[in-house]
Amino acid sequence: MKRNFSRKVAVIQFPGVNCEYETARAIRTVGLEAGLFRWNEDPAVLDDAVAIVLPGGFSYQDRIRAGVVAAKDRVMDKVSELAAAGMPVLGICNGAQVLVESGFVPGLQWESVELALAPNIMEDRSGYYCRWVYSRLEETGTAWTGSFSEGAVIPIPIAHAEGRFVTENEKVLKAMKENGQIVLRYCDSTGVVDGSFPANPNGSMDNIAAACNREGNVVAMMPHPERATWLRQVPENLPDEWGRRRRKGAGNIDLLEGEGPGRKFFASLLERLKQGGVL
Amino acid sequence: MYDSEVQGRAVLRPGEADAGVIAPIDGKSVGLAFSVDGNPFYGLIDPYQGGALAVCEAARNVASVGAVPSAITDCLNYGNPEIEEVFWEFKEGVRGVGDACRKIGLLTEEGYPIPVVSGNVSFYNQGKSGKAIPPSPIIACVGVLDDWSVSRSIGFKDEGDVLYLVGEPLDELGGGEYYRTVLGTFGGNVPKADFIRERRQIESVIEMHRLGWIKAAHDISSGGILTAIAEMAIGQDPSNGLGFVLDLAELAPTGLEPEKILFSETGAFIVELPAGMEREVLALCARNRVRLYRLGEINSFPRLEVIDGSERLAIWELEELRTAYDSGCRDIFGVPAGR
Amino acid sequence: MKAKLELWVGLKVIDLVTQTAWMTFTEKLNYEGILRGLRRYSYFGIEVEGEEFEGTVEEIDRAIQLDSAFTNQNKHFYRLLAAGTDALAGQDGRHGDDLSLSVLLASDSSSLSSRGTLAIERDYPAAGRGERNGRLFSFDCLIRPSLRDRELPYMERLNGRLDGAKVTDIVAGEVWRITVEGADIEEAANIVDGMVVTRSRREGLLMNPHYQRYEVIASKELS
Repeated sequence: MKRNFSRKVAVIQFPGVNCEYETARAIRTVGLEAGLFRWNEDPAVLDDAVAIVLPGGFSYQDRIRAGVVAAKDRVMDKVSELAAAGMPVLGICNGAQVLVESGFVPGLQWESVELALAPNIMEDRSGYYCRWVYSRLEETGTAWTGSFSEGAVIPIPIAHAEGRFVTENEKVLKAMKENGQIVLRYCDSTGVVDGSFPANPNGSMDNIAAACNREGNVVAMMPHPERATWLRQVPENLPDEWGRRRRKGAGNIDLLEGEGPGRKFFASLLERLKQGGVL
Repeated sequence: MYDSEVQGRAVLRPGEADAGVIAPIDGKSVGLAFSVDGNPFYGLIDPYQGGALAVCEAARNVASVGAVPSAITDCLNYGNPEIEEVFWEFKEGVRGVGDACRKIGLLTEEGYPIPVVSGNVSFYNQGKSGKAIPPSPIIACVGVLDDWSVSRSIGFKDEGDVLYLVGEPLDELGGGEYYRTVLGTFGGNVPKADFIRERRQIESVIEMHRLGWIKAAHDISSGGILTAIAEMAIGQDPSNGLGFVLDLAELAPTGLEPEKILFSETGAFIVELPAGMEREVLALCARNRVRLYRLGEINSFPRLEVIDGSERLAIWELEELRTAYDSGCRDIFGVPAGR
Repeated sequence: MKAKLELWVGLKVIDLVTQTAWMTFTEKLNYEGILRGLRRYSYFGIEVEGEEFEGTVEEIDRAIQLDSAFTNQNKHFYRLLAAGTDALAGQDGRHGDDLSLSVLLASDSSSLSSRGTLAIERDYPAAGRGERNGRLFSFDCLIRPSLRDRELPYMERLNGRLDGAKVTDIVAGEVWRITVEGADIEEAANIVDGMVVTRSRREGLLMNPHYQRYEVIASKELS
């Protein structure tokens, strides 16, 4: 039986991803519908979807290089076609690695690999790094960030070993800046973009935490919005308004199940789809 | 480092509290708490106490976040059991684990032990010289919460809140952090697991959680009261800059010398409660037959100070403590090589 | 005394990464019938100073056996070679094909020293399956991080385990041995370059040029 993605956000389940369920739940918190698409289903069913999310995890066990094997998958032919036609696409963590290895982000020349998400460079440590960090919202014009205010400081967790945006081609970074393709930058808790560790947790060039294609419908982000969608997920000792809110919520499940700092990424999508008359 | 947030269920992550907490079921208040603990130095002195204290501490850890210790699994690490002494160590360790589980017992089912639902035994752990490792029972404990929203991080929360010690330091510092790292000796007087005391303290702290009193809780283990308070100061929102003055005069009734008060590892809890609850908390502890000491109020100076009446014994800036805490492994092991 | 050593490390068990690479090349990137063999090794090029040669090799050998960043005896086989070694020397000949092409091609084939053994291994899948039209060429492609400081920690690690000898430089990467069919070696080299460098979603797989580099450290025609 063919599955129906009509009015739904499709969350692509590659073998080895592990964030698909909570990502679908997070999407539902804003009133959107979400369904899982298994990588080897008939990609044609995605034509009906309203948006596509590539969740975090380890697609194909990160074999060869994170994201690269999934990027060559048949379903990505369809994602390429839909993304080029303007469908909102979000890649989170491993999903971002897939989008970069697919050449959709920055997509200056569509499908050409213009960036890498390289192994982290950190102070006094190496490899996998899982921690709450701060990011500053640089672009509200994308399909996934319209509900934020420009310059918003967003606490959000990262969890990766290869998240350092880097390019050999200076023109790519220049074009990304000129076109407004840098969506999130790592910063400190006050919003200051500081290139040194720990404010920049992985050595990413220009502190990039998320980037998009020229049109802004495809966003690749290393931080995990689905891990910051509910207030209870926020650490109690965050030195900001969210930390205070979390501490005030103690003992109150309704408050703690309320909005966390990352839910707006999904709310933005809903807003965009309504504006566009898709929903 | 590992992925402590995958599945999006985390309420408290490793390091935020004595136990990690998750909210496993959508729309339900039930929570699960997890802790893994063990201290090889107690077992080196007394293998029975090594096993018993590992269970006590694991149970205490989940109680710190308000969870009822509901099951344990063990990981028992010893040397070559063909050597009579080593087998004896193993036997004593198992006896300690068993006694602790029976005598602390399930709080929810009177007369039932805390079940040991699984475990593994690792023998023949020895160096080339043939010398066995210290008896090292490691205990993981699962706790169940009716309501995960009461679980709090160990960090200080607000100025004016009061710290209480639930329990009491005893003169039993053998195998402890102070003897080993400061005095460079082991001692022989290892803490004695007092299961009735542990149970009553655990019950009291869980009750305080259920009543919604607790704003932070941390158990006393390696490094004693002073280390526990330092960890609570380090764990706070760094922009709050809260501090504490520990006045040993408050603990004078213990009759112990200052360093014994500060570093005794006798099982207990430190809890942070809002101001003005002295009468209620005293009544609760009296009813449960648990010792209680009011340690003082959290202040707004970012430092930790130890005084004895009017005499200042020690003072640390919060930043100093945080740096020392964060760089411990790096200082010992150096910077890891990367792939 | 200074010496250059090469450490090649392979998996004793089936290499799933190589399998996945093979499937991606043949099923998704149109190299079916062109790709004839694929293998993968961890590679370390080690420059070392020591009192005398044999003892130095001995020390390095001991260090790489102890440190799982280099070898894990449970899952790896390895070969430690002195540059310029005739790798066939001292072997029973059975595994001659398993050895470094760069070593085989080295001009100086005087027997120096080699340690360890490359256990029996297989191409995935066996090379030469199906009809063959052209000639077969094999290339050893060394992929390394672009940043030198990603390699140097391995030097520190080794030096931490050495007493007399001292490692003065190290190259750490992965060698993919790619066997392809082609009309001549130039054509084959072009094919291999296209397989290694990821230029777009439809071209290349094994390295991302924005943070990695590669060089062909050996190539030869197979008979």
